[in-house]
Amino acid sequence: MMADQSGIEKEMVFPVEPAEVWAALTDAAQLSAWFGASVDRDLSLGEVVTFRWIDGSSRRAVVEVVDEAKLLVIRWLPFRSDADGRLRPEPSTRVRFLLRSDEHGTRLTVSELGDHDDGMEVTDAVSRVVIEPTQQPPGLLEARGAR
Amino acid sequence: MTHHSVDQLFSALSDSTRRQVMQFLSERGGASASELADQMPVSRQAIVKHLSALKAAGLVAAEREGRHTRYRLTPAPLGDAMSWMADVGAEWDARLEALQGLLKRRSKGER
Repeated sequence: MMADQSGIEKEMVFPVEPAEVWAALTDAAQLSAWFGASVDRDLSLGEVVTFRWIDGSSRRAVVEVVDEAKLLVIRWLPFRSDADGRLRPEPSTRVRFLLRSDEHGTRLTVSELGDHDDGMEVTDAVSRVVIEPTQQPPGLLEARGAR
Repeated sequence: MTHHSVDQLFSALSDSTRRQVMQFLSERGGASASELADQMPVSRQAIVKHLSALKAAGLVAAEREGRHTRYRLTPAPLGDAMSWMADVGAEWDARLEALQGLLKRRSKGER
């Protein structure tokens, strides 16, 4: 499993067909088995899905993009509901699940980015300024489109 | 730092000019709005607006030096954002391990 240093991007290859990985991402029962929260419905385009954690907190996400067995994008609503029903702000992020077929099975890339167009450039910027404060990378100018 | 501030920070950095300003300030230690405007193909007025947004997100501080104002990076919110990203990254690591386990069990015919 590779982790991209400059943002929340994770990748894993599974020795199964994309359709199987897709089912694990979109079927409520299967998703609930690995996500760490139980999900109240299958993920289909336009649905608002509630994730409930074992501590009683919950959060909702909108299913924004569905391209069967290829691409799934959900957008977290920017708050969490405590076990006692109080709302806490959370960053507004999108999670993108990209599925690609290769000779080993299915390569799944998961990215969770800020809910802004330049999500990846933003996380690059955060990493660069903190990690390399005295270095001179060619500049963030070229970050757009470089991925 | 609350998660709301992470949102504000991401929003502040979602503009490429503001990212350039951050990069410039991190390299030079500090600059005036005019110095920044000299470096970039935007007006001084635009730079001042961008600096305001960065200031609102806690990323720059302004200091008066006589008749000029110098801006410097206050990178603490970036550290908080990095922590948030590390936390979320760790969550995804755990989830993918669990997904791997689930798919393995299913392909072996178990549930």
